[in-house]
Amino acid sequence: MKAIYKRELRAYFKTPLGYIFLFAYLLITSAVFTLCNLLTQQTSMVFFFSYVNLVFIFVIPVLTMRLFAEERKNKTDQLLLTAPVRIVDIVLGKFLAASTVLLIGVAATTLYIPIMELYGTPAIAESMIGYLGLFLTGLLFIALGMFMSSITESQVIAAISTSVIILFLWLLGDVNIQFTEVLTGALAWLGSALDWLMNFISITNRLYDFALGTLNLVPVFYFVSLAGLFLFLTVQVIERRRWK
Amino acid sequence: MVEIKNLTKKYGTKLAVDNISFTVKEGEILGFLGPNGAGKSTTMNILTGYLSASSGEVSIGGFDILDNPVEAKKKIGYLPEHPPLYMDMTVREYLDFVYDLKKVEEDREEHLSKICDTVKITDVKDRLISNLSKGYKQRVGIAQAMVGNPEVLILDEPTVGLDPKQIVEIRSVIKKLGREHTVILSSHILQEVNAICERVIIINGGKLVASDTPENLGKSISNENKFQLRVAGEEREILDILDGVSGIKYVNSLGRKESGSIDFVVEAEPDVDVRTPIFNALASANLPILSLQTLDLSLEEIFLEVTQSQAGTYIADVDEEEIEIVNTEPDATNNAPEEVVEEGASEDESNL
Repeated sequence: MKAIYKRELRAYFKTPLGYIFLFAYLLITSAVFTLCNLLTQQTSMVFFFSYVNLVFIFVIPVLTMRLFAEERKNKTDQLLLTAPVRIVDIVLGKFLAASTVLLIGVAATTLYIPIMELYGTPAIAESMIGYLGLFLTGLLFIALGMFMSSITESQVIAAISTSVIILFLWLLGDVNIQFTEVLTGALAWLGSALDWLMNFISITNRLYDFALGTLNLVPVFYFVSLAGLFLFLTVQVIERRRWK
Repeated sequence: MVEIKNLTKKYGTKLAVDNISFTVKEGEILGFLGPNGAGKSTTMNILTGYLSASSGEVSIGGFDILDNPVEAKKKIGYLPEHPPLYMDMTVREYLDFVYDLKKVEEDREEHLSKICDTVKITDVKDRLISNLSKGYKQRVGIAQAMVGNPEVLILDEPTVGLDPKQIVEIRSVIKKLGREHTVILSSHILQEVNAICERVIIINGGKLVASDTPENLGKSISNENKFQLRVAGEEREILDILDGVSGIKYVNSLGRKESGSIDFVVEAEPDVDVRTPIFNALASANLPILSLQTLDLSLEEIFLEVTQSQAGTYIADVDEEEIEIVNTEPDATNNAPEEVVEEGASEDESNL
C-alpha cells in the first residue's frame, strides 16, 4: 500500500494533474470566498460552506479519472495485480494519495480565516468544522470518482460520469418537491419513502450541520461509510474482472 | 515448482484454454509454443493470478494462486505481453517502485544494480521510460520481472519487437536466468524455443497438442535430407541429369524463381550425401548450380501440422509420409525458406 501511495502521490506532481487540481480548486474557492465573505464583509462562513462544495464537480475528476482507467489502458494493472499485494491495498493506496492532494488544497484554503481577521473576528472553531465537512465531502467524491475510473478504460468517460453524478447528487438536495404532497391516497407510502430517500441521498442536507459549525457524528458517519462503500465496490469491480 | 491441473478458461462461450495440465520442475526452462491466439497469454495471465480460470488449479511452489495469492505471487516474476511500464517514471524510479511493491528484502542498491547490469540498462537508468526505444522498454520489463529474485519467471514473448542483435542478447540473458530460476517462456518463433528451452509445450486452439524436448523435435530435422537447389538451364534437361544421380529419393520442381534458372527440392535417401554427386553431374553437363541449401524446415512443418490439425497429434507420432506430403506442396516449400532466413537462420548460427 505504501509503495502505491508513494507512486501515486509523486505521479500527481510529476504530471500537471496535481497542479491543475490545486489551481482550479484555489481559484474557484477564492471566488466563492470573495463573493460570500470579502465583498459582504462577513466573517460567518455559513454561506461559503453552503456553496463551495460545488467546486468538486469540476476538480474531483481531475484527481480520480486516471487512477484505474489509465492503468488498464496502459496494461500496468498487470504489474499491480500480479504483485504480492492485496487488491484492497492497491485501492487504499490510490485513495489515500488522492486524499492527500485534496487535503493540501483544503489546508491551503484555511488561510481565509486569517484574511478575515483583517476586518473582523471570525469564528475559528465553527469554520474549522466547516472545513472538515468540505474535506469529508471531498473524500466521498474521490471514492466515487475512483469507482467510476475502475469501471472504464477511458479517462474521459470516468471524468464526465463522475462530474455528472456529483452534479446530480447536488441537484437532488435542491429539489423542493415533497413527494408526500404529490402522491396521496394509496401511494402515500411511496411518497414518504421517496421523501426519505431524497433526504438520505441529498449531500446538501448532510452538509448543513457542518456549514453551521456544529459537529454531528451522524453526517460524519454518513460520509465515511458512503466513501467506504464506494471503495468496497471498487475492490469488487477489480476482483470480478478477473473472472470474466 | 509450477503445477497446472485441468485448466479451463471461458470468455463468454469461447473456450480460450481447454483443459490444460502440465508441471514445470524446479530450474527447468519451459517453452510455450503456439500460433497467435492459441491461448498462450491467457494461460500465463492465469498462472500469474491476473485472470482467474473458469475451472482447474494452479499452484506455484505449493501455494494455490486463488487460495493463497500473496504467497504464490511472491514466487513469480512476470513479463506480460506488453511490458507494464509507467511512462512518467525514470527506469530507476520504476525499479524502485517495483522493489517496494514486491516488498523485497535484499539490499536495494546492490540488488537493483545487479539486475540493471544483467539486462544492460545501467546506462539508461536515469532516463524517462517514455523516451526509451522498444528494445530498452522490453529489457526494463524483464528487469521488473527479476526484481526480488522470484523463483519462477514467466515471460510472455520476451523477444518480440527486438532487433536481431538484441534478440540474441536477451536469449542469452534468459538462458543465464534459467540456471537459478524456473522459467516459462512463450513464443511463436520455433528457433527461439529450440535455442533456449529444455522442454517445449505446443498449444493450439486452447488445447495442449504436444509436449517434448527440443532434442526430440530436432531429431526430425536431422533425419531429413532435403535440399533446395537452383540450377541455370532448362528444366527437362536438369531433371534428366538428376534422375541419373544415385541416392536421390525424389526431385520436385518449384519452377522459375530467377530468370534463366529453375528451383528444385531434392530429397536424398537417408544417410546418403548427394551434394557432391549432384555437383559433379551438373558440372559435367555444363549446368551451373546457383545455390544449394539445406531445408531445415521440418520443425516448422511439424508445428504447422500439429497446430493445423484439430486432432492433436503427438510430435513423435508424425510420420515421415506426412512431412513429405507437406513438402511436395509448392506453397509450403516456397514460403518456408524465406521464413527461415528472416526469423532464425542468422541468429541460429550465432547461438550454436
